Amino acid sequence: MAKILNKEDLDRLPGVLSGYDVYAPVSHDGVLRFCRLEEDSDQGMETGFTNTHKPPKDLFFPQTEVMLELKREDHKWTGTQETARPTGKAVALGMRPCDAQSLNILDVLFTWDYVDNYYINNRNRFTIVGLACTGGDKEPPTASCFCTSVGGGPGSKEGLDVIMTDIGNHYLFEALTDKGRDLEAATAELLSQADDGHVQQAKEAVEAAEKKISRKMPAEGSVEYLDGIFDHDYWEGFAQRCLGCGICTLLCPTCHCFDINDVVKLGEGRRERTWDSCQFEYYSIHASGHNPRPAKKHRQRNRIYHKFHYMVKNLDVLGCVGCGRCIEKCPVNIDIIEVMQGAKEAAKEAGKEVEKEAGKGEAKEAGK
Amino acid sequence: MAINRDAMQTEIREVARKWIEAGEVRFVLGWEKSPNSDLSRPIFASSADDASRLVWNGLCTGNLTRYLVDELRKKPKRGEEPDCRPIGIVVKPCDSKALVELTKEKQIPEGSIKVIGVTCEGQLDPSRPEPGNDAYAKADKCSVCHNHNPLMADVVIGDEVAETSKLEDDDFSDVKGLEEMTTKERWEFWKRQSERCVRCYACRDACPMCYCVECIFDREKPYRWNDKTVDVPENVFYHVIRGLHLAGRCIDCGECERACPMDIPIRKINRYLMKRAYQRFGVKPGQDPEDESMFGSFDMNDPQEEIW
Repeated sequence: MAKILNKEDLDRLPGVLSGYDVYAPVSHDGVLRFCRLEEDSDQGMETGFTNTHKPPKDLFFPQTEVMLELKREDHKWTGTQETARPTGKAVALGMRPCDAQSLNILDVLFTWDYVDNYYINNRNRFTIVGLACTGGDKEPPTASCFCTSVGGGPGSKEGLDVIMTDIGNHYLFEALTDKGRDLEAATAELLSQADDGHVQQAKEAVEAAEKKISRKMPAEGSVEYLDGIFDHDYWEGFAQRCLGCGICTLLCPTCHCFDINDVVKLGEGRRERTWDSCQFEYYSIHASGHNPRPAKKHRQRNRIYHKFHYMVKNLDVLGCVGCGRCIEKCPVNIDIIEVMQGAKEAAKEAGKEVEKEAGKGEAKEAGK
Repeated sequence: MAINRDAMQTEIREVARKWIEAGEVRFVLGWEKSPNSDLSRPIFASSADDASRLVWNGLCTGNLTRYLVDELRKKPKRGEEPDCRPIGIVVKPCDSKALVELTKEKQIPEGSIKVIGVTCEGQLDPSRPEPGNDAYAKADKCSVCHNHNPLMADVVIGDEVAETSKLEDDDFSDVKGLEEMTTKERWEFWKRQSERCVRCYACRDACPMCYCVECIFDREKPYRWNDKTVDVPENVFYHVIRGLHLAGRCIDCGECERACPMDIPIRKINRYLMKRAYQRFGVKPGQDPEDESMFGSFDMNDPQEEIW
């Protein structure tokens, strides 16, 4: 049964969630990231935002995460100690449905072969409260959103334990899972029963938002059309202007590559992992010094294939949730939808070439 | 606007098309309009059709000179002859200052570029929409610009714009706030800014003066100077060291700040150091390719009372 939360009670929500570490989008000089709301701080959860700059993968897969500490006694390294993992319940408030969808993808990525307990431990602590996109002022969808063509939507419930939808004076508050129902029980004092009218309003708000999404990713059949053009010179074009910065991958909610480094100085040591990017020049450099992806086109091509081919073919998940951050933040406007549209075109042309060549062969045979 | 951007755009397209069709250049680096937004983006124009897509408007903020050193270093594919033709490039006056600096540092061999310089009365900042005809606020860097005419060009397009100020007149009021802070306050300020840095290196990658074959921040043998850890100490180290490597060389094209996805005020570091380079050593970046480089020269009369 759906509930409603008065808009003016949103500020009280973190306070009633004692027993949870509360994380929400927080403004840092206008830049939004998911941060822990300090109990005594007056800095609160943002409302009236499109999306956080840094994606919420940071909550479960921190940009830098210490894995173990190196112990030293009498100038000798004596052993290692696993770093204490965070414990206790946590809640992420205000996650957009596209980012919530990325959690399902990250769950597969971190468990499909090696079960990454660092990620699992963090992930299991969290109850995820989503905020549907209803297309109001300063609300998504934005001009770069395209969740609907990658299996998502402004009201998608994927990856969420609770979904909140803005319906004017209230938020509709729907618990979707056991964790969500536990959270609903913890917040009971702020919630009241929703009626059919509220539920209908939420449905209409989401439908109106869906209509505002104008951009469409040609995700359908991506494995097939990418299959034919790996060596095509299509990849030369747009990659020429690529700066090789990591923005597209670092701000992407599904990108998950990391590098492990041992940081040892001044008698202390630790092993940590940090986000890496396939766009960085030395991402795949070999110990021999050979770089298998020496040019921007190789690295941009890898990003596209990883998201729209390898992950789809090997793991049955599409590696893109349509959040649009890479489109908005790329300093040289490399637009992933435009790239895929071009790839599809290139594949079509290449297919026609293959047919033409085959046709010539047959004609030759016939004319023999 | 005294200058007619539309007329200039037509002329840019004409010149580029002529150079391309005559085979005089490898390609012309210019701006084209993004098909999905107002923004302009770089294009490596190598056909008449490409040339017809070149644009010149208030959203051509990008500095195309950052591609030059990489392109000039490229080796031909095996079995192919090197293309020794010059690289064509369209530059605003601020971008042309990067050409001056790169020439000073011997990164642009004689005859390796062919420059279309455009006069400019200011660019817009697409991250700050504003109601009105221009639709966006004027870019911050343009309010401290002293060069409205290109300093280096083979062809100049656009009417000459009267220069109303010089570096000598710059009061650097944009860094006054920083200067009036105590050391501790300034440290707290940069700690706060660095906290949200995601170490994407876009600032470095967008910068025309960051062209080291092996960047200090990529070096890992025998150890890293800058650990990959993304935390305040390593982030501050990154920004301060990059700033110091640019001191006296940065021409304030503003690309670093424009590229930053986390809105870090990177130009403040560069402007702060620019002021000191000018006041202490008389350095005017991007003005005269015959000038000596600040780090590559010394004068016995240089101030020596402290190391800054």
